[in-house]
Amino acid sequence: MNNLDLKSYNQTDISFGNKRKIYTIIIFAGVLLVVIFASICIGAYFIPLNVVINTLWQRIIYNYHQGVVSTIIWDIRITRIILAIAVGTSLSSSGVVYQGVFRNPLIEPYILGVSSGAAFGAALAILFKFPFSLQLLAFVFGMLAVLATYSLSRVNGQTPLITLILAGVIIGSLFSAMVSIFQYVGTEEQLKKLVFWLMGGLYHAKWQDVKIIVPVVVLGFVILWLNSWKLNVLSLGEEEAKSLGIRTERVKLILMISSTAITAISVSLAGIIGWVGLMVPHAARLIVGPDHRYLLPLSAIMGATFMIICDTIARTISTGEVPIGIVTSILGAPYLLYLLRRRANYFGG
Amino acid sequence: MLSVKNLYYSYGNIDVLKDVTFNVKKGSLCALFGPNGTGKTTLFKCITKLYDIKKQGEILIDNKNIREMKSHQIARIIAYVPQEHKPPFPYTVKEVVLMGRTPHMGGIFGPCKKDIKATIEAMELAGISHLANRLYTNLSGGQRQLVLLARAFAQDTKILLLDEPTSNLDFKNQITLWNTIKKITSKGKTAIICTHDPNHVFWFCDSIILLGREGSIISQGNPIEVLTDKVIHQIYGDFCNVRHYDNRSIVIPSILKSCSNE
Repeated sequence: MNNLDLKSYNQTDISFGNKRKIYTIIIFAGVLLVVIFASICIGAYFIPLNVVINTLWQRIIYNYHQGVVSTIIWDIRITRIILAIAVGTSLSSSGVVYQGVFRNPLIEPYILGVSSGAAFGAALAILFKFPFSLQLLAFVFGMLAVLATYSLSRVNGQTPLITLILAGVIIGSLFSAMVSIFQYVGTEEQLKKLVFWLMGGLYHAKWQDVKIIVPVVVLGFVILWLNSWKLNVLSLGEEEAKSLGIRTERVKLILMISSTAITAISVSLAGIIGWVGLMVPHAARLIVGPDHRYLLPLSAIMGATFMIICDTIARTISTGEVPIGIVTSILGAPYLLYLLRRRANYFGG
Repeated sequence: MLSVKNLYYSYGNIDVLKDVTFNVKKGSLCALFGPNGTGKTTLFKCITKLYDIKKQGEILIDNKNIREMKSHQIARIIAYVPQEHKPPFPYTVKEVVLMGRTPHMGGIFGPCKKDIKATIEAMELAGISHLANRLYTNLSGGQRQLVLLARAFAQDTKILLLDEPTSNLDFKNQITLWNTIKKITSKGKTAIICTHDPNHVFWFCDSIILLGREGSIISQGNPIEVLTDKVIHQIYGDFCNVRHYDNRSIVIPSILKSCSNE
């Protein structure tokens, strides 16, 4: 990074234009589009691109649909892809926000216990007969866990970050312990179902899921994006943000609620998918810098792209279905290791 | 301009500020002076409303109580330069300085042209234009202090509170910084600077507030009248003496005298 700086260093030129960043985002959006179409083509049954485009054209313009190809494209692959985009977007943008709010680049969106809470909800739904769906219970308990964490760490109208993280660890391990109890008492069939859910996957994507998650993620993302300048200031430190006129408690609450809601809905529909919320924000920050006005959209686009690629691998690599959490970890862990080794100075070392 | 009346502050049972009362006039450059642990930073944080006054006391800006002001209103009047520290994310210098414009930003999405202009001017004033494109996290401690100073300039407030702004600077930059502050106060801004160098107080400040060990004000007024031999001995012991040289007061450690006698 130092070398790069010296090259671009120019005393007379202080440019505040962010054209380069905008172009970068547009290029990555283009990549996302390519990946989307590639993923529609690829699968157990390969569909050539011209057939895909033709079928989509007929479907959208004339509302004409007939045959297996149309069903595969419209009801199986596209639903999965949209779900992948929504999940990837929400995990990586909430990862960015959590890292910014906690001013710690090693934090992921599950830090406040949303994943453990959701796992508990899912376990409840699998073990007992409830009139609610697994997804609803997972969502409700994911939000409840974060609410518990937040209220536990609130002292005198303030929520110190370190208390918040510790409370998150406590609530998280409490819910994890209860999930373990369920695993212990459950039947083999229930156990298998639960473990498979915990590893995450997009295989049960349906249009009705898409209809729920897309509006929530869009709304959540817009709220986060509108607060991105405040998040910049907040990431300098709470006292500094306050002395620069930011109502820190309020901004923190808005950011937390929005990012937790989109994380919880993703977890409830796709299970616990690791690494995306930790790794993608880093990768995006290395490309476009820490200014959240650009970092958030780029991170969302990259998260969506990464998610589609992982899901395409997960559903094509073997005859069965590999849980996507395994793919994200296998692809994500070496990359983060690479970042840590090669760009250690980037984190201010 | 700024007046503090009978201010008390304590952390739990430990009293930090006791009955602190002072006035700072518009356009003055005022030193906040005192040994370590006498509550100088705490006082700054009370004035900027980072800490709420729990026990007793009032802080008025232009006769308006800060209790009745919102934090974004205060941020338009008071800029606070904290002691230098390192944020976790690699913002560039110009981005950090631009953040000083936050209290003036009307739009929901961030800075406009006016903010960028103010940022460029602030960097020139602080003498860091050549660092604009560098990463803030890769700078030295002294350079980061200058960046925070530029951010306070960009904030464009009537009052500046600076917490040991020269602690990491080289000798020349220390004097340059004092000179810059002196210039902007002569144009009507008011600055309170927390410092540990009595000579800087003699050379640049119009007034001094001297905080003692118990968090109460020992003395205040004109630096030459306040920082006498007697007062210096009261805070530091026999460690140093006030001498006069070239019509200026200067504080010299007494060890040096014994050295020269040898």
